[in-house]
Amino acid sequence: MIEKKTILFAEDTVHIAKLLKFKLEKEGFNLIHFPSGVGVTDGVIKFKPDLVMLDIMMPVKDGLTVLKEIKSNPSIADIPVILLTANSHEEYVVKGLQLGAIDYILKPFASNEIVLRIKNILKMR
Amino acid sequence: MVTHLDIFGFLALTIFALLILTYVLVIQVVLLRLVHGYQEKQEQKFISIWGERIFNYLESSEKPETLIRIIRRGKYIYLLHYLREFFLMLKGDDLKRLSGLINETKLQPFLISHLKSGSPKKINEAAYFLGLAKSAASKNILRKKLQSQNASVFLSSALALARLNDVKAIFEIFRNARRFTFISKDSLLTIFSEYTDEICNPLLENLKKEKNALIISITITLFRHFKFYQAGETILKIMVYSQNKEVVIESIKYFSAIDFFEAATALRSLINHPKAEVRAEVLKALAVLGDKSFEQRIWDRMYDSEYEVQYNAVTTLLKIIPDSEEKISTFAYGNLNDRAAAIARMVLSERNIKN
Repeated sequence: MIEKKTILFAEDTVHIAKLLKFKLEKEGFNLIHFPSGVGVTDGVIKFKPDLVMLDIMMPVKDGLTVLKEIKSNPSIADIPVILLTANSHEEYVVKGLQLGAIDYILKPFASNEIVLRIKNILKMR
Repeated sequence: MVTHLDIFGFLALTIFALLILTYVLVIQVVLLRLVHGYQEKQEQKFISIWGERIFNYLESSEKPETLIRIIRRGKYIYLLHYLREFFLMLKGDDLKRLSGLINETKLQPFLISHLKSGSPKKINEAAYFLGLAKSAASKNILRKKLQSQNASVFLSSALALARLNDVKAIFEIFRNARRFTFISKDSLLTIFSEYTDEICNPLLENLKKEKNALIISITITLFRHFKFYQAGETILKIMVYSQNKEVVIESIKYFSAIDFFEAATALRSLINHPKAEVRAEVLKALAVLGDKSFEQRIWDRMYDSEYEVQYNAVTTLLKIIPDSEEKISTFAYGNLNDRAAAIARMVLSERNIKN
């Protein structure tokens, strides 16, 4: 039996998070959702997901801070991280890529595009 | 003669009236909270029933009418509230399917009936969704709404028309916006930037004869936003003759954004402009469009009376003059009590350039 890949994602927009969960679970992934950046790094350490997806703009703790924490922890640093951000915040993307994110997706997005990107990244590893 | 009794009577009446008023207000707040709480619960209930059904619809080829037909008209408003986030966050096939829920179903006449209503709240909400769904059927009514006396109705209708890319409406939007003195340039720019670059050609034709400085300034900002190169010559003529600071600044920003080197000579004449903001903007543009021939004029501006101009003079020199680093460094550290030299030292240290 093929083992299901696990994706941990942090997204504060409730309905969008539900849509992503619905879509990716249908594609056969295990999904773990965090409604903000709080606790995400601990979650990554605990669940060791195959991929992490972070919204950059989140209250309390933003995606870039979480990314920095993940990349500075050797036990989880090699887990690929994708960033999600609004078109108007493209400047954060460069910073995110410098911090070690593997890819980024701009909002608005097509849900199929997210699925494809995730599959491609996981295939490459 | 006023007696103590009269005064006490008056005070008692006043206190009684205030108590009644407070009571009415409290009742009103409680009722509003109850209604709001009820609506929120209804909305949650709606989402729990229909949320996944809508996700399934999004990735299927199911006809939108099949889904909308089974949702009661009274629940449409919950559905629309639920869809709002998706309209803003999704694109491509997802957005097409979402738009289909409005454009190909009873939701469209429902929203159009709201658009025709007298309630600004209903009109604004309807305009918002019809615009996001790019409902062509609503164009004519939205255009009529541009003439509304209510500023929020005007703004929501203009935004919807922009999302519909209704190029014919642009001048109606400009004309009607003038009726509301408090509508800012930024609000209008937010609306116009929702259009595609199809608006550039008609705007360019209008620019050639336009007299209103605000419209000229907005038009030039939009050309910069759309990187519309074809307006270079027209804007150059406007900048040379304009007395309006905003128009001149927007023109300079435009030339810099599209690398319009033909404007460099005209910019040379603006380097001593009486307005400091213009001088600073010229220097910023010269960092992109200038060359060695500007060196002495830019050096002169290091002794400008305004800090922003001095600062930009140093940064521009560093950018366009290949050997300026050493020269500026010598100047900066050789004149310790000079204000221009102090600013030069600051710029050098920002760039980690040591003496």
